[in-house]
Amino acid sequence: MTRRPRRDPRAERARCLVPGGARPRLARAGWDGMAIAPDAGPREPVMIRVETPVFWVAAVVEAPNGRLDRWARQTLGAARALAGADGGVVALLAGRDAGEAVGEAGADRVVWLDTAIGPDAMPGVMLAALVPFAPRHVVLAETPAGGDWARRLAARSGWPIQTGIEMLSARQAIRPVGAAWRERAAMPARVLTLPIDRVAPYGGMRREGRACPPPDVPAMEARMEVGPVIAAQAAGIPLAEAPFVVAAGQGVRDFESFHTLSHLMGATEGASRVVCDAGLMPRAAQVGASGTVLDARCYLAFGIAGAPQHLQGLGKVEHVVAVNTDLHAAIVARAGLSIIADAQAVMPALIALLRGGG
Amino acid sequence: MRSVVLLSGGVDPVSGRPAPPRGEIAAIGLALSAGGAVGGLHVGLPAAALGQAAGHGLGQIACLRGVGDPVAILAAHLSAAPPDLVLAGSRACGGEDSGMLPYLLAERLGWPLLAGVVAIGTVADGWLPVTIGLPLGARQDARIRLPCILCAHDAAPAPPFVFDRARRVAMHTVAVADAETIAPLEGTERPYRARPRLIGSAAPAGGGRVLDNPDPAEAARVLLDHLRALGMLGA
Repeated sequence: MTRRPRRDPRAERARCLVPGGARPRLARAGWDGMAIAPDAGPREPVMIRVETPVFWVAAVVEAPNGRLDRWARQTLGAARALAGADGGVVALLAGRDAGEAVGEAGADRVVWLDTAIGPDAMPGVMLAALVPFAPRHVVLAETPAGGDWARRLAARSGWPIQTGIEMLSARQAIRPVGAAWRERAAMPARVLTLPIDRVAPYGGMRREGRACPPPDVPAMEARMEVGPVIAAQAAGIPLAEAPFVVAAGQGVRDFESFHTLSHLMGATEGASRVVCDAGLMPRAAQVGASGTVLDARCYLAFGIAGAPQHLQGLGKVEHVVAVNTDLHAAIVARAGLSIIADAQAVMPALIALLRGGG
Repeated sequence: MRSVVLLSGGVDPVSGRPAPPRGEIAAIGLALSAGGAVGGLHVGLPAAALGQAAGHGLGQIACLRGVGDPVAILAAHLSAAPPDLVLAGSRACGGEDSGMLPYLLAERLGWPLLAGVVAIGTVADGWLPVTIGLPLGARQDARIRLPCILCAHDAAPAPPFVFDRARRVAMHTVAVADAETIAPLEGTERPYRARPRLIGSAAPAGGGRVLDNPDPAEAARVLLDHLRALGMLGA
């Protein structure tokens, strides 16, 4: 919720009239009478608690490193929209504990699931966790893991499933069928999967997000063993699917430092068109309209002003960090953190800090 | 080792002409890399897309002609003479496109299933080692007990198309017993209407934090703290 003082339009209108309200007041000193009454100080943070809702809607969210990403928030937002005013949302949190963020994203209850049990045991554990809630809908993100769990859950329980929903409300779910040449509109099914950026995240007041005991893992025959996730070597990942890209623009002259830094950070190297044209970086590293459109989570730009054609290449990037000498460069408006400094000075400082273990 | 690749008569998502889905071509590549006999399996009448799929390396395709639930028809056919390995694409292209068939089949047969497979190794002791492809180039090693169902990752290496193989494929129709009918789909179907995605959710609202002309050491410290808070730098 915002700290903006609330307006009272009736009181404002009354202040424009003489006492009694017979005619407008002549305000010689300007509009000082229109001043909004001062706020009564910081308010108590309000939280919505739900004890016994009419029904439950479940959302399975992934938080592999204890953070809820955009997709996870949208999944909880969809569950919240399906729950409406009467229902409650229970989040099955797969991964590390995400703290209060789950309540802020719209969950009334949180059940923690251990992902180490592997995909084969997942539907049994999810069903065991859902038994006390008997949810009307179970919403999952159409990620590789989430889509897999949704289909396993639907196959095990026999619940109807709708995948890849592009428009969702409590009355209707629309999904593409027939190679996305046709679409099917129907009542939302029991199991639903959502692609990214289709449903808005929850924007209302914070919810309780009360932790519930995790379910018992039913014993089952080991039919598969899944090992740990091996992150790709940064240099070997194609630019289009790299998670972290460090890019050089015309403001970079010290390419030795640039390569050392990208190696130390474990990031994939990108470049602007000018740098590729000059032959300082390979053409395959070019980011932008005539190069690669990134799917990265984070983009660190050294000496890049941010031409429109370059910013087109940052379509899906969540976090942009810019180091640039020009305060008014377009990339500064797109960046979450901008450092107005020369890249040649910042890069050695970063290398020293990373080498020094700082 | 005997492998069976499940084929759906799909259409190309751009042109709408008959074409096998990308994942099924990858599944054929995985089946060929496993070695041994490889056959295609399709429920329904022979379709044009099947020949094109065969061009990527299938010698013969069996088309099961029966009425009713395709999962039941496949389960009955596969349990009569169980293969070691059943491979499928991630989802069909041109039908309901939910990607549920391999999961329902695995549940009915009681076989284990793994999705997103990019490579398979050699069988040891009844276990098959596989590599699972994850987003952002990450990989995960797993092993699974045979017989099993594997869904190929769309980005798994695809074998090349050979026109002559597509022309020579032996497609035979197998008449099978009718299975239980499936319930009609709920809702209404209509031409697809593209809906815009949410915008502005990726970009920060109204720009972020700006440090104007800081000391290089200070700038480096702030930058690294910011990257660590985003979880981009391991520790």
